[in-house]
Amino acid sequence: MSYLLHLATFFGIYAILGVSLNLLIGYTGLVWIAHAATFAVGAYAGALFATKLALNFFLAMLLAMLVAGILGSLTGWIFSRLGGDYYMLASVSWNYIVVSVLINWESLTNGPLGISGIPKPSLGELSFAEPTKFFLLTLVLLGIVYAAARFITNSSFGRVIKAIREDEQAAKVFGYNTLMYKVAISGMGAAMAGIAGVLLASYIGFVDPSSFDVMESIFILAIVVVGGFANIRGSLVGALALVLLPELLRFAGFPAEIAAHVRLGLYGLALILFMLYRPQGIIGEYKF
Amino acid sequence: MNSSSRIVLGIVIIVAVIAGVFAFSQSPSTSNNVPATKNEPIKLGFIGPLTGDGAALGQNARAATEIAVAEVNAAGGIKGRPLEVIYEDGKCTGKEASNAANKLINADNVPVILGGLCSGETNSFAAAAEQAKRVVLSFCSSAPSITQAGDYIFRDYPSDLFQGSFAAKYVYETLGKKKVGIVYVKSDWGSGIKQVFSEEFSKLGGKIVAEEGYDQAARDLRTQLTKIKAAKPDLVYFLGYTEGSTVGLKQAAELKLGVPILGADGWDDPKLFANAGAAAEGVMYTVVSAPLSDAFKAKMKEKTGSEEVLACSPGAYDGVKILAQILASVGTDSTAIKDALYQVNYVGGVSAARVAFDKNGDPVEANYVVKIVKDGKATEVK
Repeated sequence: MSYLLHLATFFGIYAILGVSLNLLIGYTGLVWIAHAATFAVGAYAGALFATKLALNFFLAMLLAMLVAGILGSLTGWIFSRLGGDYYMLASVSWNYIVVSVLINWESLTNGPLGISGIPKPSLGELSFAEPTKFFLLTLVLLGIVYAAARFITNSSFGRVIKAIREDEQAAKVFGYNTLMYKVAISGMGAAMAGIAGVLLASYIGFVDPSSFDVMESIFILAIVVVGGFANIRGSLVGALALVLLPELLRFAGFPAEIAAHVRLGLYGLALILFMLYRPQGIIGEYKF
Repeated sequence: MNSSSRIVLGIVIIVAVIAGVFAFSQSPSTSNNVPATKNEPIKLGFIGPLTGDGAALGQNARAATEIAVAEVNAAGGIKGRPLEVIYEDGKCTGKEASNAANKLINADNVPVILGGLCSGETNSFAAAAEQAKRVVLSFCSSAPSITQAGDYIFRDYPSDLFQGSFAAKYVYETLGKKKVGIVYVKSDWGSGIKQVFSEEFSKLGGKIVAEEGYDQAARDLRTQLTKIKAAKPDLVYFLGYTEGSTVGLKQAAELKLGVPILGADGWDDPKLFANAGAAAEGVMYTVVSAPLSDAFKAKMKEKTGSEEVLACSPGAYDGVKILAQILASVGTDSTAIKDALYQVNYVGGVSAARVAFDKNGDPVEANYVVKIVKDGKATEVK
C-alpha cells in the first residue's frame, strides 16, 4: 500500500506539472520545453528557503511560487518575441542555462552535491511527514491547481489565450495585447510548477541538478502529449499513465541481466505506438 | 456523460483494478519480519545505474553482487534459505532511485537495500528508508552528506572527506609541493573532493593558486589547463572520470604543463592509460587500497568476460558477504540487522583489509595508496 501511496504522490506532483504545462502548450500554443527548469527553480527555491532560512514549508512554498512565477513571466516576456519553433529552441536552451547555474553557483546551490536534509511540511502541531498525510497534502494542492486551471481556461482570459494559439495576428487585430497575455500565462504556469517543485524537494528531502535536465522536460511534455492538448483532465490521465507505466514494468519479471533495458525499450515502444495511433492524446481537444 | 468522461472513468477503473491486484497479490505480511519459512528465499534489494550514465559501474557491480550471491547460496544459503537479490535501476538520478527504493521497501518488503551506487541515488531514498526502518548499505556513494543521512544508512565505501585530506597531506608532506592548481569535474564526486582538498591543503600551509571546474560532458579542457598553467603551480590536482581525463591528459601534455599531475580514484581504470598513451606516463593518482584477490578478479572475468573490476564492485561483493553473515546470525529483522552492522568487523574481503562501521555508518578506516603510471600500467608507489 505504501508503494501505491508513493506512486500516487508522484502522480500528484507530475499531474501539477502536466496541468501547468498544458496551459502553456495546449491552450496558448507556446511550446515550452523547459518545464523541468521551472520545476527546478521551485524545488531549489523551496529547499533553500526551508533549509537556509528555516522558513515554514507553506511560507517557503508561497515564496518559491513567487520566485518561479516572476522568473516564468520574465522568460515568457523575453521568449515570446520569438515565434513558433524559435520559441521552442530558446526554451530548450533556457533549460540548459538553469541547470548550469544550479551546477556552478556553488555558494548558493551547493553545486552538483545538491541540497539534502529538506524538512517535511508541518503546520503548528500538524506534521505531514507520514506518507498518507503527505499524499493528502499533495492531493489538496493538485485540487487547487486543477481548479485554478479550470477557472483560467473557462474564463474570458482562457478564450483569449486559445485565440492566440489559433491565430495570434487575429487576436491582435481585435485589440488584445497578446504579449501581456502570454507573459501572464507563463507566470501562472511557472508558479504552479513551483508548487510541484517544492513538493518534490520536501517529499524526497534532497534536490540535485541531475534531476532537472532536458530529458525531464521532455518527460513532462510527454505527459501533456499523451494526456491530450488543451484538456486539463487529459494531463491528469497523462501523468497517471506515464508515472505508472514504467513502475508496472518493474513487475514484468524479465531476467535480471536485461530487465532494465527491456523496461526502457517497452516504455519507448508504448510512446511510439501512442504517437502513431492516437496523436491527439487520450482525451485531447487540439491537434498540432 | 460525454466521451472524454467515459474514457477517464474507464482509466480510473482499470487503474483501480490493477492496484487492487497488486495490493492483494503481495505477501500478506506487512511487517518487516519475513516469516521464516523453510527454503523461502531471503530477498535483498539492489539499486544502481543499470542504464544511462554510470551504467558501466552499475552493471559491473551487479555482476559482483551476483557472484557473491551465488557463492553464499552454493555454501548452503542462509540457514538453508537461499539469498535472492532484486535488481532495480536507479539511473543515477534521484527520482528513479526514489521510485525503485519505494518499490523494494513496500512491494518486495526487503529488509536491506544494497545501494545506491551514485550519491544522488542514496541521498534520495535515505530518508524514506530511515522512516520505514530499512537498512541501506551503499557500496559506492562517497558524498560527505551521506554520513549524516540516518541511523539505518551505512556504506562500505569511504567518504570523499578521507580521500581529499589524504591527497592534501600526500602533496604537502610527502611530495613537498606548496602551490597546487586544481582541475575538477563538476559532479558530486569532483566538487566534493575538491572542497575537502582545498580546505585541508590551505590548513597545512599550502596555497591553491587556481581552481578550474569543467562540465562532466566536456571533452576539451584547454581553457582550464591554460589558466592553470598561467598560475604556475608546483603540481596539478586533476579530478576527473575516464572520458574527460583521457582528453585532459593529452591536452596537458600538448600544453607542456611540465609539473607532476595527481588524480583520484576516478582514474583507476586501465582504459584511461591505454587511451591516453604517452600523455599518461608518470601521472599519479590516489585510490582506496582494495586487497583485490586474484581469485576475485578471475571470477569477475568469468562473469563479465573482461578484466575490468570497476571501483564499485568490490564494495558490492563484500556488502553481500557481510549481510549474509549477519542474516545468518540475527535473522531478517531490519532493526536487528542495523544493530549487528554497527558491530561488524569483517576481514578478508576484497574492498578493504577490514570493514567496520563507525557510529555514523561510515567505514572506520579508509586506506589509500598512491599509484604511478609507468609504461601504460599503474603500479603502487612505495
